[in-house]
Amino acid sequence: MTTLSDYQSIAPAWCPGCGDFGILHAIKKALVALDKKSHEVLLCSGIGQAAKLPHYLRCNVFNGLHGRALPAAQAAKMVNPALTVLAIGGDGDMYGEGGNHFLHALRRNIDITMIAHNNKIYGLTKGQASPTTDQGVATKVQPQGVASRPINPLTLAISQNCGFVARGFSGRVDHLAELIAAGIQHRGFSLIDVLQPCVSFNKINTFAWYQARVYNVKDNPEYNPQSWHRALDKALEWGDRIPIGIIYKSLGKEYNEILGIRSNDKLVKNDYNKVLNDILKQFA
Amino acid sequence: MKSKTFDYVITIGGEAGQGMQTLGVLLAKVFLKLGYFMSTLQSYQSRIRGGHNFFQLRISSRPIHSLRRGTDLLVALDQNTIETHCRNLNRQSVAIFDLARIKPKPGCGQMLGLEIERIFPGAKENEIFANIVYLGALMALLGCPSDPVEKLLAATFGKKGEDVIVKNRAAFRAGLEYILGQSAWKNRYQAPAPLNPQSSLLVHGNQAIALGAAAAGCGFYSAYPMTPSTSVFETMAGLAAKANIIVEQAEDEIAAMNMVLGASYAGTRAMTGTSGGGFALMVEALSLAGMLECPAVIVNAQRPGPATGLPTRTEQADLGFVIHAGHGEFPRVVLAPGNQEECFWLTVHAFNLADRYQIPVIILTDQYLADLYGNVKPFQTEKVKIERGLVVEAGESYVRYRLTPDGVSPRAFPGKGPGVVIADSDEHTEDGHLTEDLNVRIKMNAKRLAKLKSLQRELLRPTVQGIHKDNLVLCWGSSLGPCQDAVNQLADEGSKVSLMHFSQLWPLEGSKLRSWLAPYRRLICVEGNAGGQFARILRAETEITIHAKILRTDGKPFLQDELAAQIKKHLRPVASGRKKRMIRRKK
Repeated sequence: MTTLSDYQSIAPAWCPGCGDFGILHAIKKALVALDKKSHEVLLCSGIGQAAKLPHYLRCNVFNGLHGRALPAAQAAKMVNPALTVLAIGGDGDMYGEGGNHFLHALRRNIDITMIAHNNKIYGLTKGQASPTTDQGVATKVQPQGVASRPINPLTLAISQNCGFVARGFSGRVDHLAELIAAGIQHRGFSLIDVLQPCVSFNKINTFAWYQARVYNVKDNPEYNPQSWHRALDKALEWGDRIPIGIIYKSLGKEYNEILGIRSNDKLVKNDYNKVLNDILKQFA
Repeated sequence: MKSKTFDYVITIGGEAGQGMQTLGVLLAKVFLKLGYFMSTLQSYQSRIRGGHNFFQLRISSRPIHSLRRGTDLLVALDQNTIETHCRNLNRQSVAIFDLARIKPKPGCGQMLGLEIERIFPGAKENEIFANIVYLGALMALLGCPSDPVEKLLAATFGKKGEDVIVKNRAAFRAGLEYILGQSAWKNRYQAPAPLNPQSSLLVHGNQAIALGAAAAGCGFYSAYPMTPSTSVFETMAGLAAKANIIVEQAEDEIAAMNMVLGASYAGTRAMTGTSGGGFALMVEALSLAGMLECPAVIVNAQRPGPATGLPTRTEQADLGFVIHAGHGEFPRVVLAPGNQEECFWLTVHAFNLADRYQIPVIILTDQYLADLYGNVKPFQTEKVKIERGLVVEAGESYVRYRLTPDGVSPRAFPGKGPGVVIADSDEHTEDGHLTEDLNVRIKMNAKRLAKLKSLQRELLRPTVQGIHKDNLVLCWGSSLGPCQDAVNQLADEGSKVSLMHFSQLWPLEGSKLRSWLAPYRRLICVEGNAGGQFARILRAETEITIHAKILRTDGKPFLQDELAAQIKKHLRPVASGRKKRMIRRKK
């Protein structure tokens, strides 16, 4: 049995009280709940405070470029489907610099789990607007307030029929851990957008602000995450009440399934010379 | 007449979509089967229909590796081809065309107008059959045997069913017999009977690269389509099922390159292909490959820039770019194949170097070589050696970036052992975790750069043609063929000139270069760019002066006779020759 201590790694370099701690803890709990061994797990990330997370739990790590966690994660999963692959980053990393990759990851539907630490601000570069910062919020580089509208990652993913769309809150670790475990178990691309207070640069969306607003969609037993229209409506809800939980779920064919990629057989080339000479005959 | 040397250029021209390429490739196959020496040149525009494209084949009774000026046989599929190529025809040249569509142009070689639909009524239902009628006519004009061609047609169209084979054969025979029935035209060119039919592959440069990758055990290819690299992509996709390769179309080149690194990290050999603009987008991830010490093979099929430039033309102007691309300092290798065989073998070599040194390796080719057909000895796959370098299973205490004297750390794949593999784009400690310890930084940077020393020892020796030390023509990459032919021609004409071709452009090593160049008295560098980029690099590495540069930037490859004339101008004056010239000047 895997335990939390199996995932022990180096100490995080985050601000005291950062929402990232809750997400880190939830990921560990999810992996332990699924009894994943650390060498079976690959965490891919880009750059930013969130993207440092893979260093803080013992597992395979591909900490690449800003915005580019998804391409690396998808390719690793194509090549070795036996790995449990998570792509982790902040809102700037995943929805800004990596926005195009996010769109196409939705299309490909490769069996990986994307966890976006959404604190609605740029932390590591010290307080500029992110793609999810609310309109009108003033920052050092948007002194008159952000003019652009924020991205809603949930409606975006649901509109593209992403098979698993969830929202968590880093202040509710057990619930978040359940969402992450469900996302990993979902066969296909899963998105978990995590509301994460930034204690240094976001003075609006604080822990207390979220605690007062978030509610679990499951609280209403009639909520059906398999209804696309209801899910879209739910994803649009924001303000006094903010839904968390599995917002949308559907089962489409997963990429490796469509292409018949089963194991990590791309690493093995049996009887290869025969195959090659066969191929070369086409060019004779 | 059997031993008479012959050397003909056939040009097939028309609008994009008229099937010039299909006919050209068929002819290339025919001539290879007949044992002729052959080289091609494909010129096409960045459009799907219309415009003016042409496919040229030069066939010869002696080894050739490039085109020359002029056309002996012109197949004109539209009026524009006659108008455009008129100036390339000499008095003996023959232009073949459909009288029903094209007006003869007096004064342009000899006009051989055919009534295609009368010769072969089937051409009415599908104009593509006209091309097969021309194929028959060409065979009759050249006096080539028809049996091998009929067999080839059957093999080519076999998949489409018996009916298609029968129609194509009929079209071929109609063209053939029509010319054979005209004593003025039949066997006009008297090409000798099959010379020395050595088996040859019909592969262009890009196909050879893809085959090399498959042979090297590449398991992942991701790319975004971009001319002139796309046929690597298409060939890889065609091989994918048999060769067990995952081929993925990425959303952009940034994704393509990052996917390659993800796949390579996960344990398979991975490659991408693009052209200059796409390579520019890959550059950040190229630097990532340097930092992660992640093997990757990147094909850059050059086209003229800057920016979109001339999408379907050729140039060798990305050399400086690929050598220096990427922020920070890290080792990389740049290989530049000169022909299809080098495309294959250097791709295998690229994968081995990438794995053994855990670095990115760039294969620098261009549109000319990408589309180039010629005599290619079948690749002896049993000679392919797959060297994956220092690979271990990740034990409990495994660290990815172990400091070693030669800079190469044992590499493990995630999930292939109880340990974990941590790769990080930040500066990192031996175990792969990010660090800001500046002493670690010094050691890690030195470790990565230490690989350069061993890499320099592996610098590929340039190939040399000729024994004369008076003049040396230097070239790299796809300029090999035209330079071989030009230097051969000059040697035949009595000039004392040799050729040196470089297929590895980076890293170089000054003392080796100096020893290779020292015996020669005059150095003439031939390359397809405006800056003389390779000449400049040679100078920087050796402090040796390149005496003359022959540069081309019009988007076309060098041609044998043009190039020979240019080289001749730069050769060291021969003593007697100098006198003569002085006398002439006095007059």
